[in-house]
Amino acid sequence: MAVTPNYYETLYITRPDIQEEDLAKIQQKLQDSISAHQGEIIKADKWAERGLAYEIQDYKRGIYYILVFKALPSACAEIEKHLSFYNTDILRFITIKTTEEAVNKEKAAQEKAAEEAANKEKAAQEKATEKAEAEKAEAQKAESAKEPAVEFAAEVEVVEETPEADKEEPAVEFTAEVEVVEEAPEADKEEPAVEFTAEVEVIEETPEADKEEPAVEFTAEVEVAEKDPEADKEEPETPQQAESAEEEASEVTEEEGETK
Amino acid sequence: MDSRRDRRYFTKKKVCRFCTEPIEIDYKNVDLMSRFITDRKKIVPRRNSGLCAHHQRQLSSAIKRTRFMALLPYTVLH
Ligand SMILES: [Zn+2]
Repeated sequence: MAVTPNYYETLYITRPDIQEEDLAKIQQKLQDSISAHQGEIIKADKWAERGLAYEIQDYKRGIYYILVFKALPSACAEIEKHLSFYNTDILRFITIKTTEEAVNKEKAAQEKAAEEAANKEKAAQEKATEKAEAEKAEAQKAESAKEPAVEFAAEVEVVEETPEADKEEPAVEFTAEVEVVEEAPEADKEEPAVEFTAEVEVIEETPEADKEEPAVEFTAEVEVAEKDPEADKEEPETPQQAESAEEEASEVTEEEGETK
Repeated sequence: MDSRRDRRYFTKKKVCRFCTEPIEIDYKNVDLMSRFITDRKKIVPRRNSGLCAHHQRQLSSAIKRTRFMALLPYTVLH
């Protein structure tokens, strides 16, 4: 039976103070043994530099490198031989057989992430320009219209928004506030009509800020987990998800019990 | 039968997370792996994790790889 090439993924830890030339030499050897066995490197990256969960050879930190390649099984053995030969520089290594689908999937995910990042940047730029234009327009408006009620609403907005550091039209609000001070120093701050307008405007604006999060939430969780293993902030979400799943499950079982 | 027992002890039937959600068990995903270890860094047993046999086995070998690569500790007694 003919031996066919497989997909492998090798993760190895080097000591944090490894010399660049040593690393280059090791990586060259790995590449050579892959190409000597009808293989090709799909990905060779630095994965992370992080603290080790326990000390290895008295090192508390290590640099993780990942190597994804397609080659004959004999290449795999040779790679492991090389890595164990340099055991003073390589603290740990592990090779795992993967599938073509997994490799392609990861590739696609990476491309998608890059694309999304690019899109986000674009959107941010567009938003910035839009905001600048809106600011100009509203500045003109503020100059022409000088009703105290409107200005007061603007003032309330300033108070509510500053802690959240919203970037929306700070210039306009500032001018409005100043006008209030100049023209209506004795303005009652508890006029119901005024409060109402203020509330409506706040409500309109807060969802905009939060709109993007819920949709992305799930994918974001996975991505963050994969790329930034040191971030532990996402944990509280799991119990909630688990609970909701549990609740559904319990409902189902209860219904079944009643019908029986 | 099960439902009666569930009701009496207020336990809820869990559905395997990896069967219902499109998450891959990857030993490099430290964040995910660390959700399935206890305070004492033991692998969470199936009765608590609620995973099916297939995924519990996959997870447990993934956690062992994660430990080997010093991404997670074996124990708190270092
Ligand atoms: Zn499962």
